[in-house]
Amino acid sequence: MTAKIWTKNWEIRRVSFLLSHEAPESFLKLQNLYFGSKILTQIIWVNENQDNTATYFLKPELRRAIDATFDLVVNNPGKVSQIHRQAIEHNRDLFRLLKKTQSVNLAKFSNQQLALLYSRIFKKIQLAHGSSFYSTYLVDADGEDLTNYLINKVRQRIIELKLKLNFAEVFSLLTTPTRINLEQLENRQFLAVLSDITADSQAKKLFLGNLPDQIEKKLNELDPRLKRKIVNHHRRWQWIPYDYLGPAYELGYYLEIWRGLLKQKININKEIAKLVNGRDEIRKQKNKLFKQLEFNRYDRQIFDLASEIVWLKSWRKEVLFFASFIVDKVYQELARRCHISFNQARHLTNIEVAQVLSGKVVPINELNQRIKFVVIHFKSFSKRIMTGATAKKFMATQHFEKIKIVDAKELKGTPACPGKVKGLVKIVNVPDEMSKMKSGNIMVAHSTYPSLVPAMKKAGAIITEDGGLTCHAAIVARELKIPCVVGTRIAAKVLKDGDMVEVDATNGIIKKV
Amino acid sequence: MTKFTKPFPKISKKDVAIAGGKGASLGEMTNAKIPVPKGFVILAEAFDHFLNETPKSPVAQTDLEVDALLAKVNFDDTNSIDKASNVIRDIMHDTKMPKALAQEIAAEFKKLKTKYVAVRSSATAEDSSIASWAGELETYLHTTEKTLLDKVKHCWSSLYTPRAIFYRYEKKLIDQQVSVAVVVQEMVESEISGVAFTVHPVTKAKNQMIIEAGFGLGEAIVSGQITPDSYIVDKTDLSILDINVAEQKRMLVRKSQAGGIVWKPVAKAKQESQVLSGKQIIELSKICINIEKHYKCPQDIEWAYTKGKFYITQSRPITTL
Repeated sequence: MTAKIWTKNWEIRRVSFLLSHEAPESFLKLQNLYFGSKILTQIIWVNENQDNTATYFLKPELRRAIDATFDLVVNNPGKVSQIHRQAIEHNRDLFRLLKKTQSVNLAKFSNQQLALLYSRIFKKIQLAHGSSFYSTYLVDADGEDLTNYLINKVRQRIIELKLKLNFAEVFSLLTTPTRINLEQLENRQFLAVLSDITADSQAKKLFLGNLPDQIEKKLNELDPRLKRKIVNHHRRWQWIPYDYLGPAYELGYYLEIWRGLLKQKININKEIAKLVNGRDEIRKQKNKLFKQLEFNRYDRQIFDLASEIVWLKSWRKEVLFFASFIVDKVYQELARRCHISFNQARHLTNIEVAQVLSGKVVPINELNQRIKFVVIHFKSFSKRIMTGATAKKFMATQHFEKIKIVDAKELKGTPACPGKVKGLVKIVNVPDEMSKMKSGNIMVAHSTYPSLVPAMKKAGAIITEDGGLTCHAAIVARELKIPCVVGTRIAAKVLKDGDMVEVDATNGIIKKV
Repeated sequence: MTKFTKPFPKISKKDVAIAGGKGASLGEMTNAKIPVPKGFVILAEAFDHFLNETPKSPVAQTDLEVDALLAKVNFDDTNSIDKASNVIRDIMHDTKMPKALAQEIAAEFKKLKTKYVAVRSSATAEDSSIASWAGELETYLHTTEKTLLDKVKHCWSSLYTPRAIFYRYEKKLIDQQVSVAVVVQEMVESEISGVAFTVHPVTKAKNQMIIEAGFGLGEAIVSGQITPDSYIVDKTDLSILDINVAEQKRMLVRKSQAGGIVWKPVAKAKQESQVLSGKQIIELSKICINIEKHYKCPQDIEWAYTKGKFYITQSRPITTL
């Protein structure tokens, strides 16, 4: 009998224990939304110092789950859309509870009320996060099955019809969402507040004549209605950059950017129009392409589903970041009451949160161990959390697939945004490494996430190991129109800082030169 | 009626002239309800009394004898200073403690209800620069009732170490009467000890304080021989902002009777554990915040924990802010 082989599917930098013990559990629980019977039975999640260094699946199970999801998306897009509608409802439901929680004073809650609130949020997070996992992540998670299928469909049609179109550009446009995510919504409202500031001469004077910290102190001098708009914008959106661990934006951040834009005298109405009309423009171009490619209703349905997947993944993640921000407030309150540190509180399980709030002794040494190294083995409906020597021993008894890294002269990946560039490689996996990036450098990462966007904006091209049409790098690269190759699997391990490479993002090929 | 001693509760910071800097500070802290180990001060007058009132044997009145010896010292010759120091200190050690004084000290000792005390000299000089050598005056740990009087005399005679003599000559203080008080304080055998800064030492944030804690004696932390746990506490709402647990494999402990310190292994199960519990962190934070409030400036505090109770062993203003 051969032993079960685990295969690593992802790693995530800067991740919370909340996500670590919530997510795999919800993925296992909610697979019945997609499949008639259970396909995935086990997941191993490993964290070291708040990085998820590996998440493993049993190799044959993972393949079966991806195949089954792919089959659904391609052959029964209507059912997947229906699952998505449910997922959207779960996320809206979570979002409402989070907004409500944002405006209550947790200090006034009894321990029991606090435990109840936490438990409600936790359950809603699991529903919101897990209910669209298979079609918004897993389907492209190992070999980018869906992306490749869609690219090939476009390519074949272009060849058949002898069209003078670039298949990568067409693919990119056809999968661009027409719905806006929360960051884009924030952007619109941000510009609306800027417009109000510009229209108020007193406010304009305050912003142009003071540094951000002085502006903050003098906000009371403004018309109370405008002041409220400014303060509320921060309150409403400060969690946008939170990811899983924070921090959120300070009010000063927004003040500084408003001030900067005022100085640049940008045409606000034009910018707002661009944001609104941009979506219409995409819709028009899509319709035109669908006609040119002679796609039938069925083909269009799949591509519309693909852009829904791109949108839903980024939106549900934003909701999850908002949830991380709010749950951290609960952890802070709990930490104060139970005399533990915020970080210790963050490493309690959902069950332990209720226990310590009802007076049970806090397992501080276990929490300290979890902060350093924790392995969570999810099996059907149970999870086993291991630390220290126990965790090491468990890992030593499991069989993991070995990934061969060959020092190739050429790397292949999936074209996510077309273009051809040459430049110096900079490996950027965490925000601390962003300072290496000079304009035009080729940014190479295992995967990207919102905190890395400042570095991405400077990149001549972006290369990632993770891939898929829903991956963050692909979405941002298309938005910024930066050549991008995803799904190379080994780029961040094979390439080093200072390597000169030629990136052909139209064909997904990277050459060392 | 006591004449030559005062327990800590009867001393305040105004008493530097009679109780010395260290003694005055301990009295002040005791009165501010800061948990310092209990003790008393043998006032500077006691030393004067010892010098002036001693019976004539084995030599003439001690203070005259000392003055005569000092007058003969050739300060360009270190041998001469060393010799004078030896002779003076021997005379003091051999001189019998006046009976009334001895009785009074013994009575105060009994009130402490403890087996071991720490005996330290406490310089009364107002010139703060004198404190720089006064800081080198002696400390005797693990002193028992039997050895107490002898150690007190050693504290007194520490005013006449070669270094102290030379310093006073250099500062032209040789003819001035210098005196010293002696602090006698209950020994605290710390199971856990550490330091606390009532402002964040790195960010300088005044609403935050840092506590460092390790098993065993505080010397290991102060001298950097072990890496302690560190806890950051928000002083405004007493929430713990951050906890960093360090692995501690060995600890310093006091060799009981013989004195001196030795390394001992920390029990395996405790090596990676958090030294202070959350509740203890908050309890200690409250004590430290009170000290800061009392002195109205940020403090650098040394503390110890034993048998379920925190003790403050030292508190100094932070001058490097």
